Amino acid sequence: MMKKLIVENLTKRFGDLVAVDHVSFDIMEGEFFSLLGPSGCGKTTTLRCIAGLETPDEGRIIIKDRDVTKLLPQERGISLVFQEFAVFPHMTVYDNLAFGLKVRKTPKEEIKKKVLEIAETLNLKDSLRKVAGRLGLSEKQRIAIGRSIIVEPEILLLDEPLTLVDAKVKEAMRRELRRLQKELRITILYVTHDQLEAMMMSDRIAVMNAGKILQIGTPSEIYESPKNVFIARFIGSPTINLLSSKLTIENDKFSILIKDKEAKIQVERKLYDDILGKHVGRELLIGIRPEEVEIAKQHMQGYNIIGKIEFVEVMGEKMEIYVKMNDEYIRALTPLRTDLHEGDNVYVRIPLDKIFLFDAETEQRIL
Amino acid sequence: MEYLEIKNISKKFGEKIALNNISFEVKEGEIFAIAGPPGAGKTTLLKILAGLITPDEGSILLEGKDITNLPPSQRNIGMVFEIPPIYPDRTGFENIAFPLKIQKLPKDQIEKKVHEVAELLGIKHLLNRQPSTYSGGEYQRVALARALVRNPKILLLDEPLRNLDAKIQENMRSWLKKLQRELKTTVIYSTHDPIDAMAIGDRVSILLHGNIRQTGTPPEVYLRPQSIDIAEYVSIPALNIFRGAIKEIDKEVVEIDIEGILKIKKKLSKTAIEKLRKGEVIVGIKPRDIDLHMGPPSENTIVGKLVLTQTIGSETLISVEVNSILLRAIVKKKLTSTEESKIMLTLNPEKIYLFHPDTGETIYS
Repeated sequence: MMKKLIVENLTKRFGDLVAVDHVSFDIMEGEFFSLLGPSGCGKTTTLRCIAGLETPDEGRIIIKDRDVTKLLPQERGISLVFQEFAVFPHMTVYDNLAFGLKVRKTPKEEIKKKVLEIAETLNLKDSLRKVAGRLGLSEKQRIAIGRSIIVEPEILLLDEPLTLVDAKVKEAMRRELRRLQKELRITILYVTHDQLEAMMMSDRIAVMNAGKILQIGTPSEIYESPKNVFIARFIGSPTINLLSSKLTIENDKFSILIKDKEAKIQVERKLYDDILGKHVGRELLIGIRPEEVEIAKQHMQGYNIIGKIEFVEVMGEKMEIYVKMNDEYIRALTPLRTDLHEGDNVYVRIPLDKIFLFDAETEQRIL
Repeated sequence: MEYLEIKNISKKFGEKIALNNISFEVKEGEIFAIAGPPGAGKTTLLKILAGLITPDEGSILLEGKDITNLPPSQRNIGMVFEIPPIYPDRTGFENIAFPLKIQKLPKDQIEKKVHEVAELLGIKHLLNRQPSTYSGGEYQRVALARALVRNPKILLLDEPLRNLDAKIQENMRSWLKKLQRELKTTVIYSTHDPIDAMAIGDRVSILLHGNIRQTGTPPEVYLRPQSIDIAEYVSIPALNIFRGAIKEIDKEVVEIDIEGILKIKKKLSKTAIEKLRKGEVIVGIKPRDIDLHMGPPSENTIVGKLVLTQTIGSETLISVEVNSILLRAIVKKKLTSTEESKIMLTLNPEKIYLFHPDTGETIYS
């Protein structure tokens, strides 16, 4: 497959602040690629550099084999959609879609042909004569996307386009945008702070923090093999549990001791020999996703952490249970259960095959 | 007598009915969530409770006392808005102390109270800083501290998390719930997001077009919605909705033909069957109640084309086309649309919803 965009060592400083710090990534043709990170991580600045709205201090941007680093925005072959959909509210849907082509002085018949084509794909055919400003959010989004892709950009840049949309509509729009992107084989660079949004739409995700890319991978790769504590914490909802712990040897038995909980997870010899041996005595963090934590009301084999339910949060057919152990919490996500209540004492099991282990000091993953 | 009683509140703005005969009760020490899409009337309702808007009709009773006509300052109700009006040129301390200064409390008492609430909310480090240096979450905490410092009888929170990053929203929500469990303050929380409402609320009211449509615990509202519009509103990812034809009616059993793609037999109560006499029904199925079918196909198997896959953590939301009808399901297995275009699904007939085709009322849930 062909590389549509190559970003090499991109760096952008604002005074003393390194907003984008030697960022490199490639986007393939027809790929939906997301830059994901918290507010201020440098994702929007990266996008703006690619769009030509900021001049990078270092690095190169190559779009379809052409170095565009020094080109003007309109010479780069990109289209950009911001948080507020770029729709002219007083124009008809037809004129909105035709705008980019008119500016480029495309012949009238060709404009008509292209507008009808794109309206068909975007399911806007019946709205062509309507005034754009009166339409719903989903239609406005489609118009904004239609306007951006009718000029056949090499790559479409989207900067948090769904942030202002309410939760219900958002879910439908994520599906629609992804469907359109696949159908039309558009190459998209998408910027968001919402990990669920990135996971639901992207082929690949680059997780950013403090100006740097920390990991690039498919949504499942990033969810299942986070490289460090930051990524593990940022990806996934509810947030992963991180418990401070230590690796111990007692009577030739290896176990991970969860600090202050007097709870042990027995470790096999092989795992110890292969990976864990060199971390004996070091401070570790056990990472366990709430959906993997098991809870019982009676003591059972393996359920060796005791706690008290502080409160529960119902998330549709699942519920998140906050179990308090001393002054720390462990969160469990289970299907809706009616037998668990606030204040109940419960027993918790952490299945060993589902844990991540991080070095507490470097925050890098070791298992 | 309940702690707070809202009785028959109505409010019009010009011709537009913002709230239509709203009644509900809030118990002392609970988090009562009001969920509804934008424009449903949530903010108007909270402002009426705070005394910032006068209702056209109805009354509000707090601990049995009618407060409908009391000015905001005499109600002892604190409110935090979506974008709280924090004074940008004052420090955190001055912002939090503001309501106490208006009450003309002695200086040493103000000092003590502000520090207590700042300690509780973990924002002592913000007391000497200007709001321009705060993050979104810190900003909301200072606003919350200002509302809590007067020790209000009720705390109204109007979409307090709306403008925060997704991850911070999630963390703030559980932080808020934990805090409320310590303080035991009665909280009324409004949000457009049904999941947010169910997660934080001890009880939830669904507000649609100015009407309270259902009130209950989160599982009650989620699993037993009283009508199709409530079911659609609370379901994220979106509920699958199909037309069903009632094929044959036994004494207790009906066969429902779902859009020609599947026939299911279902045992129903007499009253339910009575309502299905017209031969039509609307069927609702949650994406999580449709699963991949393993093994050879049976008569209950749906065969379709996989058109879209979306990762949700360890699960996948799939969109499947069956006879030009689109079905959504959440499955455990990882799938990619390129590797398997033909897919087999099965659904649990116990988990479906049936709605009346004319009224939308729930017949079975």
